[in-house]
Amino acid sequence: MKIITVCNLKGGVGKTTTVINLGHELARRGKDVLLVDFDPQAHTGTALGLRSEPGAFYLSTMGTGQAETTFIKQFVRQTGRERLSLILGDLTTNAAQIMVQAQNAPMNIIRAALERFRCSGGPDYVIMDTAPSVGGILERAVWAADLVIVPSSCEYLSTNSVRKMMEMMATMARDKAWNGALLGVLPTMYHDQIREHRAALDDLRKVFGERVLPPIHRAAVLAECPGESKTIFEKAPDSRSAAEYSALCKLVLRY
Amino acid sequence: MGRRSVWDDEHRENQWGGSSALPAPLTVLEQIPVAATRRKPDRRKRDSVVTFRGVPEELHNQVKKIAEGLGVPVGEVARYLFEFGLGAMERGELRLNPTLAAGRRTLFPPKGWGAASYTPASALPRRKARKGNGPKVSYRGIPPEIVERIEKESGRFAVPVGELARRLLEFGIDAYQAGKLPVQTYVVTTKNTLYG
Repeated sequence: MKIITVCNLKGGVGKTTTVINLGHELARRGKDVLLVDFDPQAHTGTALGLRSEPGAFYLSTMGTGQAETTFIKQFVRQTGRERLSLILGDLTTNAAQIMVQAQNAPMNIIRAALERFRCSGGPDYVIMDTAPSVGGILERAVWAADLVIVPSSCEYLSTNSVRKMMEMMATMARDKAWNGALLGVLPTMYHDQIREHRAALDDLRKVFGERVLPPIHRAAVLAECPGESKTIFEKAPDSRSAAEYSALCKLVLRY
Repeated sequence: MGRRSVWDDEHRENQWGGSSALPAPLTVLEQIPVAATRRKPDRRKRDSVVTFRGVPEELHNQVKKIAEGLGVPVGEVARYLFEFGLGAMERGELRLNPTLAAGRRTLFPPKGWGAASYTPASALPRRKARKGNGPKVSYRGIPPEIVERIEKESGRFAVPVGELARRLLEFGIDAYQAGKLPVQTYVVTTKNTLYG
């Protein structure tokens, strides 16, 4: 079981879009995928046509005993797509965030919570969508990850948040015995006709070199998907966006 | 003023409680572990996978079903059943009655338990044993000691290793279904260790 965390401190950079489309493509390629929505806005479920519920809250606040595991597994929802399931979140994820911070919960709390799925019939990939907020669950979700993908729209403020994410990961690796690794920075909403986008992409490439993943171009069709509760592979399987997310999936499978 | 890079401001305070901020942009990747592509599993890991020939798929599915019910890896259930069966053999609770069939000894004679009678090998049509025919199952995480014990016992009764494995699994599953095999699962919490 490989755990992937998709995170950036800035909102609206394409985290949820990446989680959904990467997850669906992995599932289409025969992998069992479990998505976990740690964003109180619960947009992962909404975009897939599901109603929000406090699955993420229970996952991050309950113990790891057998009874709790049985209880939490009840919150694994099928998305209607083969091999793609989801633990939904809702506003109570915010309460979980507060609890985790107030109790100064151990750094491995999310990792331990996900270990219950590492069993026969468990998912091959767990992909976590995180909230654009500081500390608490975000830190622990990153600590839980085997691979971290940092989507960043190609503008100054977004790349500035990438820097903060990198500071966080550097600190975790140095002081918190983090065993995960950065898969890469994923430039999103890229438009090569916009000067700022080119400059931001250059900026990222100067620092991260080959760790800057192939960009996902801006596309209206990606914005239309959530409204129809579809992934890009259902809405426009022949589009450039579908090809780009498919390439990202192929890359993820190599790690 | 031209466009500045987010990496220009090197000495901002690190809000994550680290002792220092990132020193210079080009060293960012030196401070963050980056993912490496998958490698072929090393020999030690590969060797922990044990394959048995002659275990029917239905039996393997039963093992998988138990594992799914308990929320543990399939290999662990197989190991548990093997240990239970071998223990039962030692205590004399599981007795094997190998029968000679088609010139070899087997625990599973073609006509069912106890129904086979001795037929001289010369009277039967000779068939060349083909290894690729039997159904194969693989289990991960079976300790070498268990495999050695199974091999030793199969040698003692002169039956194929896979057949003994099948018998042990069947015995264990029967006991599990009859409630005679207590199973207690444990949650392993992740931790950092120097002796993994």
